[in-house]
Amino acid sequence: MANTRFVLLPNAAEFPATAFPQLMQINRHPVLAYDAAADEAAYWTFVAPQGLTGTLNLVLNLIAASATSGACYWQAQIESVTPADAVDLDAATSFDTANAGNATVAGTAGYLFTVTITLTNADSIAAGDLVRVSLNRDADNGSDNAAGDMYLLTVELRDAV
Amino acid sequence: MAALDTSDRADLHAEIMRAVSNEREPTGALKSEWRQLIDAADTFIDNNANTYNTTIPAAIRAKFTAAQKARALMLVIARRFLRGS
Repeated sequence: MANTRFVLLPNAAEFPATAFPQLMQINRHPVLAYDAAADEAAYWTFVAPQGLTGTLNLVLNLIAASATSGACYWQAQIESVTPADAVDLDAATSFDTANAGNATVAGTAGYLFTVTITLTNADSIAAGDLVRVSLNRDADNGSDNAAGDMYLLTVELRDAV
Repeated sequence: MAALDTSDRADLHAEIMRAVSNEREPTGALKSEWRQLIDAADTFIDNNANTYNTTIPAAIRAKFTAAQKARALMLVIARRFLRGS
């Protein structure tokens, strides 16, 4: 059975200066509202847990604000820094190539559905690393055709197997 | 006045999807279909602007700016179609 390594929540998200999802409450659930018309990104920071091995997945728990049909596309990038790495954390970012995932929305708006993103490009993540995850909806992808906002409730970092 | 350009229609496309999301109105229409709706609305306005203008009584027509006439049309549409929705 795959292990859950970490759960990332909307209230713990970090945001760039521009183009980020809005943190809001929907029926008292904290969510990040990802726009349908433009890419918006949020970040989370954590320390890679001990015992981390193998391929990892990000599993997104989502609800659609309005859409009852169509698909949403997502991209996740990992920046994983080991002590003494040549990364100047106060001046630059070092995210690996984006990983992608998508899913068709639930048939009823507000019903939970998931998107799984396999972290093929994980910046050589290792236990003890300082890690940042960047997650954006790929809203300008021509196949992202679900109308309206997607509300992100949780992001789970899970072993792939 | 000519039809809106691509950039304006794109802005309205984003705005209407945001409005639908804020109201949490269920929709089976895809993102591209909402854009077609915006395009159709703009085309209708472009094709019928003169007809609307000539519907305004001639005696008062010149007393209003184009923006004021547009505002009146917008208010009537909102009251007719959006009240209680």
